[in-house]
Amino acid sequence: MNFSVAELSLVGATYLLTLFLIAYATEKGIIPHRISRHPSIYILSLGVYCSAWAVYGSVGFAYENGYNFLSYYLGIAGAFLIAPITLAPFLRLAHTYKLNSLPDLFAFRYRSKLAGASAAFFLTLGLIPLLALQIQAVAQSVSLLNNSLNENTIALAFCILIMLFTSMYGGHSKGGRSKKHEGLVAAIAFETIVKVIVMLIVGAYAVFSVFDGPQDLQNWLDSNPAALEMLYEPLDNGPWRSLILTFFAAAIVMPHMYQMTFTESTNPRSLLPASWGFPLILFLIALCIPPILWAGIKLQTPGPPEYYTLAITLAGDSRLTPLIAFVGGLSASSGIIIVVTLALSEMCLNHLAIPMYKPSMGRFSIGWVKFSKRLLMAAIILASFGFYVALENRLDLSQLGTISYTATLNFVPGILGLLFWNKANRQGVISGLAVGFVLWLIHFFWPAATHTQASTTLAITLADIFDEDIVYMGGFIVIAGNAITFIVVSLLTRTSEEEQRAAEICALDTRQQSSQWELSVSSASDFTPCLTPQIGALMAQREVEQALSELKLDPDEQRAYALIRLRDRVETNLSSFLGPSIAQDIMDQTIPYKQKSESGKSEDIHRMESRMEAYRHKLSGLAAELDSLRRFHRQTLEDLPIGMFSISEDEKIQAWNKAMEALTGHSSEQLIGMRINSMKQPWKTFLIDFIRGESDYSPQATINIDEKTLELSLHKAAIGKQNAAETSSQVIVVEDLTELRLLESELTHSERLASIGRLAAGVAHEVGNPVTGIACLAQNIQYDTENKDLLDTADQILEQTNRITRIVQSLVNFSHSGEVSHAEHCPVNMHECVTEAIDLLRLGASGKSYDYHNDLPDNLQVMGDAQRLLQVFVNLLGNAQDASSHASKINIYSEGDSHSVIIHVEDEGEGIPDALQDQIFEPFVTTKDPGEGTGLGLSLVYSIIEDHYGHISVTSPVNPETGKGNRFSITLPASEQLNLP
Amino acid sequence: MYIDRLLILLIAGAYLITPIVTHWWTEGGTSWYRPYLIWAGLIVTSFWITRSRDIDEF
Repeated sequence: MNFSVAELSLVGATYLLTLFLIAYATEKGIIPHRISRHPSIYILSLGVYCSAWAVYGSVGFAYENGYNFLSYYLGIAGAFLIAPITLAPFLRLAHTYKLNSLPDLFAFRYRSKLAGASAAFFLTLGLIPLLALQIQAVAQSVSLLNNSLNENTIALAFCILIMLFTSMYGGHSKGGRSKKHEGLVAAIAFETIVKVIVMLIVGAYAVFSVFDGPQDLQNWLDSNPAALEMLYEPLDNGPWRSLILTFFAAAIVMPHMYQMTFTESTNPRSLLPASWGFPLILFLIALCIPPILWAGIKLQTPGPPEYYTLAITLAGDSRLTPLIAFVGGLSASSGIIIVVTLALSEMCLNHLAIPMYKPSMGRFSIGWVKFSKRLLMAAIILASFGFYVALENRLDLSQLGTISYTATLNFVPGILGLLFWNKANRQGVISGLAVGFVLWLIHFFWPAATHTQASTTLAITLADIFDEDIVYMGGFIVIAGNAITFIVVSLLTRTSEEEQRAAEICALDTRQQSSQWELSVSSASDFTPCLTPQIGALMAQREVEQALSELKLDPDEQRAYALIRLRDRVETNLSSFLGPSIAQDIMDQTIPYKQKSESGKSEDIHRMESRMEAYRHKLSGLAAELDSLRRFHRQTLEDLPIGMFSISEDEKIQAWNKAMEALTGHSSEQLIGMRINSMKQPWKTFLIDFIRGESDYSPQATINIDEKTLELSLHKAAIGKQNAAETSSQVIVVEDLTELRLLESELTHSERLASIGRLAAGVAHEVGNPVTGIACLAQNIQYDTENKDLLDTADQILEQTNRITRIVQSLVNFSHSGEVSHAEHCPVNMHECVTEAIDLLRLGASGKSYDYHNDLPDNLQVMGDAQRLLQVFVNLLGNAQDASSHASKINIYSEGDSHSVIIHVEDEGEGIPDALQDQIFEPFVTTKDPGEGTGLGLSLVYSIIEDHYGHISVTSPVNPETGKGNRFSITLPASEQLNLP
Repeated sequence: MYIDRLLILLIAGAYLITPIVTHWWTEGGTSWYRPYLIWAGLIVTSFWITRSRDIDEF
């Protein structure tokens, strides 16, 4: 069966055009994001792994090496089945630090442009045979369908077509921050669907068309045991485990897998379904390989077994099935070429072209980036084509694949060092890669390119000693040479400080992260001036502002850990734009890290705690118990009802509990990590004075906050201080005593009143007796004499003694004011009480001339002592009379609710001076002229109202315009019988 | 050097189980699909484990 060039071109071009349309529709949003970003698209895009080796090469490999062919699928499936262990750490690093390729990862961890450049160069060199494999597969498969065509011509045509197609993808690259190619991912996912369907169709064709169903296949196997034996036999002696490990590592070291698994991942959680989804895709493809192989053997298909997938379909009558099989192979080849070329061109651009060319910032246009990338893509494809031509089809697909996979094994020591070995350094990894690649060139690349045997003396000797295949021993020499050089050089050379820090970030063991680093700048505001000489003022400002907004940090941020986060974010953002090598260079030159001084090592308690919180769910056993204990102690300090905070030696705040937050209004989030002098006034001066002061205890410190004075008691203690000369962190306890001081003051006031009362009682008793005697003697004079002058004198004596008696009586009443039992309280009708007080006052000489208005409701009742409440109103109304002019109005009215009653006594008299208003209820304070008042009346009222659980206040003047009128307002708890209008 | 406990468990498990599995596979005779049965079993197990896994770990 032969197909015309037009037919094949149409099928090929239509397929590639479909791919481009899918990519285009996705980029333009015609395919909705909910579909293009669905985890299943991500999983399907991982199918890029299934190259022409999966579709064609595996059948040939199975023919030669039996079940060893499964290692190609099982190795990588194993890596994905345990993705949370194997791949998640890389995904975390790639996402956090925007490391888009393996050279990015190497440059980041080993802090070396040369490490990144070596990785990019060796990876590109190592992948050329894999790309040549794809070109060979397409060329040979086309020549199977049309044997008149020259294979090299087909290969060249295919290369040109794929170059155009790839440059279109390259052209879609935004050249900016985003390195995601959503369109490419969708197209590759589509390709995977095509590959799986094609393999299932060809597999079904083999089982149902070549054989008459599964039973017939089984019967054929029973009658041809050699066909089964050829699968089992190589398992015993073949390099089964080595192959499994090689393909296991491919999940990370192969650039197309790194690109799809890590760089193109939009959602890290998609890795979980991928851990079973991707092995399922491989399972479906691998399941078809044995039936295809047996179908090829049964049909005695001519040509190499690796093309049985296509060749068995040519034996049938249908013209469609061979075309379907051809599309499967084309799909597998084109997918991997596109992704590998794209990945290699990006890494060559970032790690080789830009560092070598060193364009100034102004020349970093998107156009320049796109042009360079397209040029690199073309160069890579042409180099692969050149290698394919040089090979002259002497190597089969699996041999070509082996050359590439062995080359990528060279990255395994560097990757293991990256994850597990903090001492690994750039000298080690670069020399290891160099040695490994030289050995690879000697044993694999050069013999393939020059048609010679890979037979160094060492390989031959080792193959003889271990009785192994010479190719297998070649691979062993490459990896062993690399690993030994890497380890020895790393041990013999010094690991730089930047590498140590990067190693801490990359290390799987978060407990190793000691965060012994700090930045050379002390504030976020220093970032822009530092970066300006390197990247220009505009870009520096934009980058810093973007990083600040992404991290939600303040432009004046000073916290050490926040500054480190800011630096990392700026580097990450620059890395996505300029590549990691350039970004690292810029950051290392402008804002370098420095190792913390001994004195500053205790400060990052907060960072340590944050890491422990993040790592907490992984702790178990004693570590988990210790963590619980830590949390308990921390919570105890947090919930302490007394303010507590601690500061490091350089006065950075390490802890700030809730009571301190409530007291100062500064949240712990704002302050932790900041220096104490970054606090706002007046707290800043207040706390600094105490912290730097010599005294460890300040019992009566006061601070004015918003016109309110807080009385505080402060204690401080050094944390873990061994001797007096040593400086150390401090813990400071701040107790708010304001309320306590207020209570103490009220108590003092009461005590003062009580002592005045006792004094008054004593004075009354002592003065009363002689006054009574004087009054008796004056009365005796009145009875004993008719002398008018003497009688007048006696009257005056009596008048004066009466006055003394009244004063004494007032003193006695005052002294007894606090001794009333609350058991005597009963409902008192306030209207009647006030009326009685008015009547009593009217008995006096001046009482009649005032206009009283008792507007209290008739049924207004409060709980209390009627006589004492009567005294209250007598005093208040008496004062009102004294303050008012004759015939003026005195109003008594009320308001209130179900809980309290407010009774107002309001006059129109002269107002009370402001200076006296605060003291009006103090004993012996009066506004009256000397001799007219004792100053005890309102004090007595105050005491009585307090005894009734009430409150009295004064408003004066009532009318601010005239400056006249006084209003005394008594608030009393309402009686149950209260019935307000 | 710190190695995930699960990784140690997996390596030890693989070391112990691989010879048994390989032996069962190579003794398959005409049951050529035996390796695929093991593989399918691993896929189902992985599916079952990831369904109940705390996805916040990522």
